[in-house]
Amino acid sequence: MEFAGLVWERPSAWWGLLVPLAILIIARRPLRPQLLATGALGLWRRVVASTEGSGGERPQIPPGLWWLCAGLVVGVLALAGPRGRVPGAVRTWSILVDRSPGSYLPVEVGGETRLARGAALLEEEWRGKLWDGDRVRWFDGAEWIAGEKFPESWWEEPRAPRAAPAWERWDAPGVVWLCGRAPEALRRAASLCASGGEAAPGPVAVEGGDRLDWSAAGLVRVAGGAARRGVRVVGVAGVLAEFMEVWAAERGLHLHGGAEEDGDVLFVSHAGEVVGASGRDPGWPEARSGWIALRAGEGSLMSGDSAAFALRWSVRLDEACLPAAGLSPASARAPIGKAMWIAGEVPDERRDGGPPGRAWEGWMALLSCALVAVALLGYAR
Amino acid sequence: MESAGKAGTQAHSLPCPDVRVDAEFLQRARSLAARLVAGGELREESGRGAHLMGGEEFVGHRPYRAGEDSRRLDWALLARLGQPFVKVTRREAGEEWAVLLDSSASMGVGPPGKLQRAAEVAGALAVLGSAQGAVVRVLASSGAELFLTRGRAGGELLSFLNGMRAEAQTGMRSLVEQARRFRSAARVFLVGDLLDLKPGEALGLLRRGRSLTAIGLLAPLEFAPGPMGRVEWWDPEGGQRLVLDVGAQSAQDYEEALGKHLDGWREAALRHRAAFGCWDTRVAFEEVLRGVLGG
Repeated sequence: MEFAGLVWERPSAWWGLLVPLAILIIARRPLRPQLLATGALGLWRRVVASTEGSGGERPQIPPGLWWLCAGLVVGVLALAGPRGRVPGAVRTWSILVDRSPGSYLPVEVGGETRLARGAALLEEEWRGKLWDGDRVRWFDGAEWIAGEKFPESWWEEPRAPRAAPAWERWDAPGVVWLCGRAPEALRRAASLCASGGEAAPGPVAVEGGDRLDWSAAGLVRVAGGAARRGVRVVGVAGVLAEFMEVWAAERGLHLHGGAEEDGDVLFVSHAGEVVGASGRDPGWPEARSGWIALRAGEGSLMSGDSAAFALRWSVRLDEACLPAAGLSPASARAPIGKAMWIAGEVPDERRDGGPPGRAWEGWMALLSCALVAVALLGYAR
Repeated sequence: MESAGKAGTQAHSLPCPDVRVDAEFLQRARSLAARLVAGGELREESGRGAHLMGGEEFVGHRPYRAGEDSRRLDWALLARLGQPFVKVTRREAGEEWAVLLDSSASMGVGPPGKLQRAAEVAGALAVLGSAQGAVVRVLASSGAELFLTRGRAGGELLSFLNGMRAEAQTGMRSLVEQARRFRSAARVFLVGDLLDLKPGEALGLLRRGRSLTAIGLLAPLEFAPGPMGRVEWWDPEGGQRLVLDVGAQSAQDYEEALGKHLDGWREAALRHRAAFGCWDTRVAFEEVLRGVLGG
């Protein structure tokens, strides 16, 4: 933690400041009066009258107690591990971003996305912790992007659904988890920035031509509600082409060989033929992500076992198909609570190869001992 | 900050309400009396025509007792009869001493308790008076009274003093107001804290042929309290209370107020040729009596 121009290794030690504070408050607090009989009440009344009814004096804190408390304060600050900053020291921040479909759902009905809300919260809470020269890199579980600002291209939901990063692998100082719902993974050092969000009713699956919608009331089947889904096939002929027609009809898909359409869930072509695919997500992997690139000779019935051919290609095509656009799992559409920021540990420039700042705790501990010694020896009764 | 107490609901025990005197005290008192008389330590009386060593009017002789001041010997009679006799004055023959003892509740303040020390002083005065041949009346503000004829200051005195208890609601002022009870007394002693009495009221007891001695006794926390922190002062008689933080400044202000009070007594006593002194109860009764009676 950074405060007053110093980096504090153990800021939780600041709670120790309550001890000298409590000592001073107790020393200053009017004590419960001791009941004493006297025959000189009249004289005391005169004293009160002469001090204009001030009720006497509050207990004065002995100088020795001031010295003792000063020693305790310095001691507590030493325990907090203050360390100077070396000008030019570079630290690295890693922002892990959850780009799973749930992050692109609205945070409330008609509102911005959970990702946008989370990013705004991140700016608000985290931006001030950056030093000049700090490196910032963003990671969505598949791709690293370096830069101080949130990657512009990530505002758009990837066509191929992304899984959330493996949070537990990234629990370290200088790491920030940016997500909609706080992950269940145990977090120790990383900071957490969760947007939260209300329920987001909407489609969770399609079955043939039907669509399944989730709402708080449950799942509703919308007959014929599924959007048109297409399979773009370029340069494929023979047995595979024939099989794909059967397979597509069974799945409710339509085959076409023209330009890329919005509802396409699969693109099948021979390797090297990427006509019309250049506009897709550059991170679109070849397998199980909506694109099958056939190698030479692939797709012909070599063995003559047509059943095995159909089974193998059916599995491969099913696996390669993207889900229909706009689908999110019911767990993501359910309410995910309120926004949350939990500050974790800041990156340590020493771990990043930077020179360590000057540590002050030794000198402060020495000063603390000296102050306590003055309190005990200089003001001993 | 200030409140009036309600009797019965605010009964707090006083730290030193009782008196404990024994035969050893009596021995110390007798020893003191002998030293004061024989050693000539008693000062000339400052009352109006009074004299502790004897009055002016000669009424007869009595045999000389060992230790007596040789100046009182009748040398002519010694030469004529060959036996020592001393002159007896009217005061010595029939003098009455009145010792007024404040036994109000506030005398239970201490330690050492004010009533304890006051009773010791009163007892020692009774012993001294008795040794001087005077009739001594000890009057307590509780209403108790002891009448001692010459030479009778013994077990009866101890019993009387041990029966004292600081619980009366009235103090020295009530005794002064009952002056008729000791109208024939040639010497009047006031023993108490004297805080409820103005000097003028006490000095009103003076008349021709009577001396007055006022002995003030204050507990240490009344004499020089010093910083004490937060205190709720309680007046055992009125039940009134006063809460305040007694710091160094408050304690100094109090001591100044007490100093003014005592200065008032001192100046008034000097003006009327009465004797006055005020002591901390840590001071032994011998020292108190030497201070107020000694030369």
